Amino acid sequence: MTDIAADRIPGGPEVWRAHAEGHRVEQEIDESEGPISARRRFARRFFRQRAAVVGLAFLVLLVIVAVIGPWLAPYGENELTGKLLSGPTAQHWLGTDESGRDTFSRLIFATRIALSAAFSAVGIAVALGVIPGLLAGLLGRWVDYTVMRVVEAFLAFPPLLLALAINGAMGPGLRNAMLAIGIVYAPRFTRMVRGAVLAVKEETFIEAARSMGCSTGKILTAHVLPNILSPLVVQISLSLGFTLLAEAALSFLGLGVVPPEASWGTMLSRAYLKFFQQPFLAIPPGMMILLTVLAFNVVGDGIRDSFGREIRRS
Amino acid sequence: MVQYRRRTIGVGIAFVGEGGFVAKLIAQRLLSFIPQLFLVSLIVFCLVLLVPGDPATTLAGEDAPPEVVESIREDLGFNDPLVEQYARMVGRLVQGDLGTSITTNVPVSEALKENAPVTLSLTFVAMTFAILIGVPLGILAAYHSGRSLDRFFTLIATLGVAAPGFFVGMMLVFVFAIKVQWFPSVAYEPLSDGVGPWFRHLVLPGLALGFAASAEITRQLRSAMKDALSQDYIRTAKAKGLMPPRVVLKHALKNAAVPLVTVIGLQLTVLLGGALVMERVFALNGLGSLAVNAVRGKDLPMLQGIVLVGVFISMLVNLAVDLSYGYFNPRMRAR
Repeated sequence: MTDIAADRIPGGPEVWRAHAEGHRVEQEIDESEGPISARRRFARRFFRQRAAVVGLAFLVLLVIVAVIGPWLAPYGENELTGKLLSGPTAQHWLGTDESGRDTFSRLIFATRIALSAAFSAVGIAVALGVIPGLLAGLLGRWVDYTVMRVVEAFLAFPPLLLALAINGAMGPGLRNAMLAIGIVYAPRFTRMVRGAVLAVKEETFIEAARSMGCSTGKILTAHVLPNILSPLVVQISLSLGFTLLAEAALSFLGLGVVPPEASWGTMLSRAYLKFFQQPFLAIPPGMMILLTVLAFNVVGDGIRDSFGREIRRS
Repeated sequence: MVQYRRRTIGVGIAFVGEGGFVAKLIAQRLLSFIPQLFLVSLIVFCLVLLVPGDPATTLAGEDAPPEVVESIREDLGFNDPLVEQYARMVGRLVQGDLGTSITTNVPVSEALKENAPVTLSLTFVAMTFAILIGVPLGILAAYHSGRSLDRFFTLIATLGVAAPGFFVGMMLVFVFAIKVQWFPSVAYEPLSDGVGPWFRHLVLPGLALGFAASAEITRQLRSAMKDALSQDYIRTAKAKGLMPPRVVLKHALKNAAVPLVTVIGLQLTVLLGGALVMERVFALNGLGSLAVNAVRGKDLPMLQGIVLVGVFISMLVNLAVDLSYGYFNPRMRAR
């Protein structure tokens, strides 16, 4: 047997034996640590990426700030301190705005809105987008054709323009902005889920399940869903940053969060109006948006790179 | 005998003869344009359904007498069945009539004709900047893959994708319009007044808008070029003694052209939407300010008109990108 393999593999028996040795050594290491679950392998790969870990730490910090924000903020969300348009001082770390409200406190209050906005928009997109994608991938034929034509029609729109139009038709407000962004992003989830289902459908274990007489419903829940979960998680984590940017843009235009409620987008919008008097006003909300989107993106990239090879490629 | 082959390209299946593949590709892609137009117009029509409550009451104002509300409803055809309303909209669209603004009573197409050049100029300048910055950076990053130059460019690109354009715009205004006063921070000069002033007024908004797109181009081109540079024919070209610039620009870039064109097309439609926000930062009177005013005045025909023009331009861009695949990927022509 060795001889046959040695003939086929270029490099000769020495090289081939070295390969085999190397493989055996690797196996021994694995066995000494015990069998590794997929979850542990994922965690180990993820925590090896420095940028992703820093990003995750930042997001965890943000979530904590969002939850305990009201106790953390030195001033109230709309408390007037009497000092107008001040730069950073000992009392007001990040200065005050044109009505005398403390920027640092408002930044903290806005964190809750920013995070819940991003998560609810992506939640809406998943809720609207996943089921059509599953059906299209699984049933094929005219269902697939119809769903994909609708998806393509939605994807033809410039994303922000469609969000603006939907938000505009429904009227300003955070809830409407979230719905608008969710509708805009749903087709992306449909397309991704359909692709993942089509890829899973080709696998032999689906064929095996079908030949054993499994029903479509059983195949869907037992085999297809668990296998499209990882690409779905990657898509969700990568979408969070984009939805946060979209919310900020809509709020900047006065469509998303309605003042006096604080949101990073509306804070930038107010800062823009007073930009010539106090340019510093724009820096804190702008940097918060940038850092949070950056954190979402690096964590998303990290999650993608920590899954198996198939997902890393797609 | 002519041999037919089945080839899948993007949408649908084409039967391809020995010649005229590109012609077939164009014909097929153009044919798929029509059902897409139909669906897109349907989506735009459905915006009416999203208006909360009764649109006629909203338009007439809170305390308008019922007769006024009823006459508005009759005028705008809200009493007719939805199918009829949609058919009427398509009928008007086919004739190039986008309706009349509710707030200003100006034909929507007139308002669009006036404001669209601003948005299109801004998108064009931003795309030019994005390509001029993104392409060299992507090539250099791929060529120096794994080294510090690559890591530096990748870092800039990662930041660029995350930065909100309107924040970048405000920072550029602060530095280049307030501190050093090299460029104007507001207003637009039409192209008819000369290319110089037109361009000068678009430098800052164009840079701010194009920044994220250049970052995306850098990221995509870097990975495509890395793939191309690791191919055997690159090694062969190098072994033949060709100079690195020639190998990179002629052999590798040509093969990375398809992903590059794809990302440029995608970014162009993203920029078209982003331009609406950027216009506000630089006080440009383009489609963005028109859209914001339409939303404030609950001017639905105007909003629909803006969305229709935006999506139509974006569909044309997608069409051009799809057709360019035939040019950039000779394999699609040859077989």
